[in-house]
Amino acid sequence: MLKACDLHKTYCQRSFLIKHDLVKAVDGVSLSVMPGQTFGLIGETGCGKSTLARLMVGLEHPDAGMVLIDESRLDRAKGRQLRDVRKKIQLVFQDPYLAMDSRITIWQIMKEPLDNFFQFSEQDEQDRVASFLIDVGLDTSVMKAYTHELSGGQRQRVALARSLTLLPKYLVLDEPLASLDVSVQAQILNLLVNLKERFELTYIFISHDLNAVQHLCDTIAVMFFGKIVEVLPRFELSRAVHPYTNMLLESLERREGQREDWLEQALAKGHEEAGQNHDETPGCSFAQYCSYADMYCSANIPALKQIKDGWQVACWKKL
Amino acid sequence: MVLALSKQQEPANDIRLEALLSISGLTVCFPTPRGLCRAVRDLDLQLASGTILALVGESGSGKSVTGKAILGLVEPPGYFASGEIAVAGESVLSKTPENLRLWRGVKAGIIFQDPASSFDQVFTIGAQMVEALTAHGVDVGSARRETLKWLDGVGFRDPERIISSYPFELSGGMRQRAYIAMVMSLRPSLIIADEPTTALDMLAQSRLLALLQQMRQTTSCSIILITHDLGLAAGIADEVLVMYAGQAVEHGEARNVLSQPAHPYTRALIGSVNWNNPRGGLATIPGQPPVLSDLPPGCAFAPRCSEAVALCKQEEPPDRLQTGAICRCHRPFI
Ligand SMILES: Nc1ncnc2c1ncn2[C@@H]1O[C@H](COP(=O)(O)OP(=O)(O)OP(=O)(O)O)[C@@H](O)[C@H]1O
Ligand SMILES: Nc1ncnc2c1ncn2[C@@H]1O[C@H](COP(=O)(O)OP(=O)(O)OP(=O)(O)O)[C@@H](O)[C@H]1O
Ligand code: SF4
Ligand code: SF4
Ligand SMILES: [Mg+2]
Ligand SMILES: [Mg+2]
Repeated sequence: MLKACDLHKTYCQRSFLIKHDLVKAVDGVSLSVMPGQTFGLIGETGCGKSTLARLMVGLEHPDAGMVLIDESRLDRAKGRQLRDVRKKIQLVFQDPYLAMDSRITIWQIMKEPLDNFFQFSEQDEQDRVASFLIDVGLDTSVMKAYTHELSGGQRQRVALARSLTLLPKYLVLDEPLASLDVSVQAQILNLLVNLKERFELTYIFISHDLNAVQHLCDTIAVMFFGKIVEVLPRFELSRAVHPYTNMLLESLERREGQREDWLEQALAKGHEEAGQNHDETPGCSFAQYCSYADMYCSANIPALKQIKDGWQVACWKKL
Repeated sequence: MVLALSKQQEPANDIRLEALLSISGLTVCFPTPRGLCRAVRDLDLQLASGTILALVGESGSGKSVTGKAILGLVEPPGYFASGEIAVAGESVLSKTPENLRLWRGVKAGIIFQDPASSFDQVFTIGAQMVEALTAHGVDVGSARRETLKWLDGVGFRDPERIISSYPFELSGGMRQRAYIAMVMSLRPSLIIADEPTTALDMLAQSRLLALLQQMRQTTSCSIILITHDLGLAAGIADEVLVMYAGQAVEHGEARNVLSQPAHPYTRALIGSVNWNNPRGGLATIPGQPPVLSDLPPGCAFAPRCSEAVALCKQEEPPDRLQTGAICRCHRPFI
């Protein structure tokens, strides 16, 4: 089981007017992901999804809290144990360009982690790399190319294939479909479903594409300003409880409905929506956008509470 | 955050009549050890002022290369093999590199696909945005005000924080919006937006679309929106151009192309937008796109096309139908 216990990460930024700007990127997140589960994480841009992903795989250290991977603490792991843990959990970065060395070929990029974690023969490595490249819809000739020779979507798929070749028990995917056309998206989603069944992988799937999340994930967590506000089974999504979850769902419906209507609405509605605001609020951070908010909400932070099996909500009014 | 865009450069009347962007016979090649990769082949395109064109197509079909080529940007050893590009009557390819640098930004701006690599990592967002404006003769004070205004315009609640942030201190979607603000602050007559919404959630997407529309209305700029999101194309574009293996395979009014596609590839692409496939998995277009350095003879889509006949594998289809519609196919749906 993959567990996050009360994770906190605050970034300190020098600002131009105020001396120090504190950004609570991840603010007390606890979650547990069962083996074999497909855990979706949604939330607006800048709410802390990538930061949470980096904390979960140990690329960054939390200010407080800890991550448990199959009962062993990520921050305490050393030597052999650390290697074992690293092999178990992999992150596919949101920005494949930053994560890949531009001076070496795709083959070298893909071979490196295999060398690190396994003792395959060169031939086996090649077969494995080739088969995963084909699975993500690329031609094996890309092995000889450099990253800058690939298109955005091709690069994204190389990054995905690289993590998949390791068949990690837990795979954190940060916006893995972002710049792919629908047909390739569908191919990748089918591949993920297939691999999960064959190798019993566990995914944490970060995406702003609610359609894809609904298709792939059995559990969906909704994040707002560094906090998880609702965790619910996919099939309950239409009955989501938290006002913010409902706002996200509405924005999807708006897009699915009449195009022109939707655009008009977007134009008119424009700016009353949630945005970046890291002001200290003593209570529920959604209060200023919430139509159910009252004085109690603005003064007290609601904690994530279980309302049913597998369904948790952080809201005073909806419990 | 309603933006009052002043009409900074009133477009001259004659430019309104003729095409703002005119591309003919554009071919861009990249020599690679695996052979010559022809990323864009024989592309023709006329775009009027104030038009929004959506450029769609499979990953690797040449959309980004086309977008960059319009600004004269092709990374060596890549080169322009043939063709002409003119923006507002000015030939792009005959400009000197120095002229091109000055011209870029004001006349035509590009929002690159990779929000991470677009910014210089060692300067703050604010420094780079102000620099972009002052390089074009705006004084520092107004540049700073403009910068704040545009950051607000793309939906930041705290532009002050963004201005003093380094690129790595922002999330993917924040970086993307900051870059969009930087490009738009120069009010170019032609905006090329390469997948500008990939890191944006639904609300930020709708806000960006609204902003693009507003921009088009007030400055009558043209926008080329490169996107994989057909819904987005349907929502905002006047025209749609579909690319396959480096070629424009279909081009026309958005409504026509998206609701009655004539080209089998466009049809297949639209067919894969179905989240409730009764057969379980999601529909994909079978087969793989061709390797650009090793194209098959005849129609490039033939190996995957359900309509293909023997002729398709022998002879390349002409670039338009007898009706004049732009569609590269021997057996279109009409
Ligand atoms: N290295 C850093 N230094 C300072 N602030 C940071 C750093 N990394 C992230 N932040 C801040 O933390 C917040 C959350 O960022 P994060 O990248 O986790 O968001 P996200 O949910 O992944 O957004 P997106 O959907 O846009 O990718 C943002 O306000 C960002 O500016
Ligand atoms: N510098 C380069 N050297 C060699 N080949 C290149 C180079 N740049 C692009 N290509 C090739 O040209 C083709 C088109 O690339 P382009 O980036 O235009 O695709 P795209 O349509 O934007 O795809 P995506 O949707 O994935 O971004 C790709 O097959 C790519 O491998
Ligand atoms: S706690 Fe109050 S303000 Fe927060 S989401 Fe619930 S009702 Fe709205
Ligand atoms: S030319 Fe033939 S193979 Fe090509 S798209 Fe048309 S029908 Fe299909
Ligand atoms: Mg992110
Ligand atoms: Mg591209």
